[in-house]
Amino acid sequence: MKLGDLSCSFPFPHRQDEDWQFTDVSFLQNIDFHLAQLPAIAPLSDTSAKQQIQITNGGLCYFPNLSQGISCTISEVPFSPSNEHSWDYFAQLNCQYNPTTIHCRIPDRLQVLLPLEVNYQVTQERSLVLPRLVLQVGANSQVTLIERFQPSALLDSYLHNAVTQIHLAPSAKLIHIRIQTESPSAFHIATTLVTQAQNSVYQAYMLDLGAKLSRHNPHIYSQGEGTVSEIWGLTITSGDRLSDTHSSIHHSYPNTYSRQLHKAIIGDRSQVVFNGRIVVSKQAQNTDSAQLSRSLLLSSQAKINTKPQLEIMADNVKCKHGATVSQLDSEEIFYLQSRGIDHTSASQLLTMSFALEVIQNLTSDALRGELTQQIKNALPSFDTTGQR
Amino acid sequence: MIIPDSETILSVRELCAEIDGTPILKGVNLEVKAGEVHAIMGKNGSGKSTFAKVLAGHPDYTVTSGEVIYQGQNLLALAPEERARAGIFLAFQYPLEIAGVSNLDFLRMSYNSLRKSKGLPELDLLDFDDFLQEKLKLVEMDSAFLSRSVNEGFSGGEKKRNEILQMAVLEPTLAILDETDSGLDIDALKIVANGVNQLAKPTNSSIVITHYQRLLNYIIPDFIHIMEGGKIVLTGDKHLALELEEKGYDWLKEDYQGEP
Repeated sequence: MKLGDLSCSFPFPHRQDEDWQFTDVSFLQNIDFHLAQLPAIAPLSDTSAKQQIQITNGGLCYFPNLSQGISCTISEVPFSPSNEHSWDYFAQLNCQYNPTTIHCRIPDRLQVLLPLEVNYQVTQERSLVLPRLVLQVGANSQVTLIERFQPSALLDSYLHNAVTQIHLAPSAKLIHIRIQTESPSAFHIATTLVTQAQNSVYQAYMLDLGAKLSRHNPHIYSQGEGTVSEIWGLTITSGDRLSDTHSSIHHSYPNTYSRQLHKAIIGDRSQVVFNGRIVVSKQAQNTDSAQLSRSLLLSSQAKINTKPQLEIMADNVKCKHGATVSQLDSEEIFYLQSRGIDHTSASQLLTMSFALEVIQNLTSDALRGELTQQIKNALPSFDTTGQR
Repeated sequence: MIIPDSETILSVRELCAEIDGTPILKGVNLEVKAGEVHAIMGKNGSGKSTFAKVLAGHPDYTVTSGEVIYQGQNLLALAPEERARAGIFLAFQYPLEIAGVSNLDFLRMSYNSLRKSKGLPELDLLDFDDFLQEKLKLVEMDSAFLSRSVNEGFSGGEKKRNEILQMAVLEPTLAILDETDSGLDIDALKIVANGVNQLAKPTNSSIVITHYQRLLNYIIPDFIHIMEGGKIVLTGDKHLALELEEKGYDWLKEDYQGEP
């Protein structure tokens, strides 16, 4: 079965589409995939203290022990996205070919102390995997969601095509951690749709570290006054990887706040695309928004296409944006060398510190530790030959 | 201090170096023995900072001729980190800010890289902290500086004190201070000079590069060398600095230029 054989109500993206200008996915149409077999749901088997939800091959594979009040169910109601203009071919494909939605609800006024961990796994080669998660956080509740897209083995050429939809009720707070470390020959395409009611806080840490080709579209809709939205993104690529992030943050009400930092570390012949759209509608007076994209090129063949895209209709707003592209600073390396630190270690130290800025505001030491380890694993080893 | 028959630490002979094809050093000769403090003075552009960077192995400069022997080995064959491990320390004129790397981690990494090269076990965080507290006193630095990123947001004086702190930690055999006095008020200057003086031992030596005589009121040199046009044109004792201060660098033009 090829993607081209599946009927979809959205057209397959083409490089002539503005949103797919730098990312050619046409070859995906020629790969022979098979629809992943959904797993049988296992009974309660988790005795650990963790709240882990396992989504294997796109289906819920076991129910965890959840804190009181949190529910996790499978709904077979056809899924209808609330913001259709953020929808695309892949998100639609996900909904058309996987009838089940994994639906988690956090009731109102609940402080969930343990993070809700969602681990996505794939066990079948050349499979088309279509997980779909909905998380609703009740008013005045607080929770941390960790999504991990990790291979259980180094599987060949699967397409993980995920949709995550999050809704934050008034004054809810979500810390959303998303770690993508797919298999090196895998394809990862995902849409994350976040809607925020008034005074809710959404804080995301998104690491794109794996897959041969990855594309992530986080879309954040502020749907009330006083919302806070932060996205801290890091992409690390090497070899001939391509990683594309197309984000959007929509301000539609007065007095809202958003911050976005997207960093990329690009090695070898790899390529990164970042497109950051910020939309401030006419009613969204006093919006305070800032976006910064910073890229570090580690090789002369590495490539970055970075583009801020600001659409501001309101007249009384603070909106900043910036983009920098640089290489490791040879003066900084020399400074470290002059203190006895060798060239390789100096390069690693500077690259690591560049990356770690993305997670510095994360308050949980345990989570920061996990993310730091993932970043370390993803950084290329430095070859110093010829650099002296 | 001048010690009769002490070991030669550094021997520079007819050193020539260039940057991007432009010659800067044009035959520098210098002999530094254990225990000695040498000051190198000169106008902007005379080559004194270049000399410091070439000794530390800055990659932008190419040595075109001459030799530098440090404790019996060819210094120019060593990478910058190998020079540091062999006991050469350059206090930077403009210390760099390294965002995201804490001063403590940086100092420990640096110190342990030296220990490792000597075949000594690395110090863990606790032992290193004890060791560091002593060094902090020397430069009158608050330990709050340790948790901050290296030099990030430091004032000019704090950056220079941080350089001397690094020097105190690494205990170099040859310390090269490149315009350490620039941008310092008198209090900071005294702290820095005091730190340098306390680190001086009969077994190590230092080269103090400065534009002004002021620093030399606090770090008393055994020798003063005047650099001009990429070479040392005059050598004298500490009184030379006062003469220079009084008459200005132009005085050199009449008397000494063209007579190395």
